[in-house]
Amino acid sequence: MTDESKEKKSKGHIVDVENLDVDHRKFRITHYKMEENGHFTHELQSDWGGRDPVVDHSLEIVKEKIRIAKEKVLKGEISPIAYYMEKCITDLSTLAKYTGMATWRVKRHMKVKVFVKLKEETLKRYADFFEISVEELKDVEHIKP
Amino acid sequence: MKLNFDHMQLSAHCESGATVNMLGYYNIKISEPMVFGIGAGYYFGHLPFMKMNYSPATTFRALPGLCFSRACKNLGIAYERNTYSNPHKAMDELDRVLDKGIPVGVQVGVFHLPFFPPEYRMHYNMHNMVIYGKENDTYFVADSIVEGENKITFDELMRVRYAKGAFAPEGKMYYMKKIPETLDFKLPAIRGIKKTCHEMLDLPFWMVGVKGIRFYAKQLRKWPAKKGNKVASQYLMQSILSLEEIGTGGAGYRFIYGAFLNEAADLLQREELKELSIEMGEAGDRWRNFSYQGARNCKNRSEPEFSYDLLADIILDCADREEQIFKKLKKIKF
Repeated sequence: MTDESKEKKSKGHIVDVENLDVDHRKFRITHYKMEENGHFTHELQSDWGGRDPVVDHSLEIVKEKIRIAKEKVLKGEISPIAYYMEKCITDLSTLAKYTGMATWRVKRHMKVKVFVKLKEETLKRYADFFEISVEELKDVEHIKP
Repeated sequence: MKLNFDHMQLSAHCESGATVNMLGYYNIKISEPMVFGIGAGYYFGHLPFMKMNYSPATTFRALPGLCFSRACKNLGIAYERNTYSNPHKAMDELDRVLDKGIPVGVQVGVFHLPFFPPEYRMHYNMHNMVIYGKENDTYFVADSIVEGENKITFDELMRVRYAKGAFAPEGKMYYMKKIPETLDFKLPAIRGIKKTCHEMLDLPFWMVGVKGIRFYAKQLRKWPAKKGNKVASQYLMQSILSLEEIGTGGAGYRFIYGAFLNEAADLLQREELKELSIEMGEAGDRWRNFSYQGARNCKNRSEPEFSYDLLADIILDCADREEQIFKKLKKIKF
């Protein structure tokens, strides 16, 4: 039991979007509404009627992006950084800010040719944000299903 | 040490919720709609040049931080709001203020926030919460959106306070320094209403206010032809998310504002405000109508169930209603 919880902790804070199943009824937010007599009330609800398709749709888009990136990485068209970037729901500029590099550099590192020549320190910056080790980042076999 | 924070209220909007909770600590009873109205958090803006999640940003609220500062100014409360370039200095400052016995509000990014539900853990940096205690390495958090008592460790807090990306918080924290002995909500409420009327009607920019709603309808009509059904449904989804999901209390704060007008009517003894609150509720229903139908378009992406023209017509109707409401509201002499 303790080992399991430890493992969970060491896995980090980033949600695994790829395998995320949303429990739609778990999380409740305050919703206001108008009664027929013109008074306003509020209560905790998990739903406003059309919530599920919208949230599902937003996750679907993310998942699709991850899937496409994964295929491309396995084919060797782009570097694993692109895959992990999609996995963290990040875009280029945000990733550049987190790693402290210029956007064009990050974009350049998406090329496999450039990626294999990268220094350990640069890889470390990416790995820290993705919450994986440098070896995992380098190893393409790691992301195979 | 831990401050006495038993009365924490859950609320829809994180920033007004944080303000309510901070005021509640000083034994001031105020409802969330009241804070939202006094702080003039009501707004509309459609900004196609700003992308959120690869989609044009649509906002239904004022900029983060404005609701708190305006509410404090209008109520005559002295407050302090700062950002820090050095993370360690920011944490030291937080500890120092907490030791004085003052609850502190912080702006955070939700991506690394551990107690937040997983489906909302996107790069969204405008969340607000109140920190009311520290024990060893753990901080106690009153998050007005998540139920229950939440805790966060030192490292995690530092990380979320220094989230990067659009609207990065940069360690922003705010707290109240001095509160007047007697608080009267009448004048602040009037000031809040005036400010909102000004922002919705008079700003000379076509992307914000009532003009902004019309502009949004115009853009929405163009999406399917310009971008294709798939991208259009993605854009639509993003605007529905900011309309209904991210702590708006339903229909893009329209219901909260209606509740505020209703409360203000009792406070100021004005019957007109009560009528306007009902109209505001009806406008909210119309927005809700839009999000229901839009949600169905999201379900069936390639062949939209409702045409985008129809959706745009609903929004134009909303714009007309809101223009009517705010014009009437502006005319009332207090």
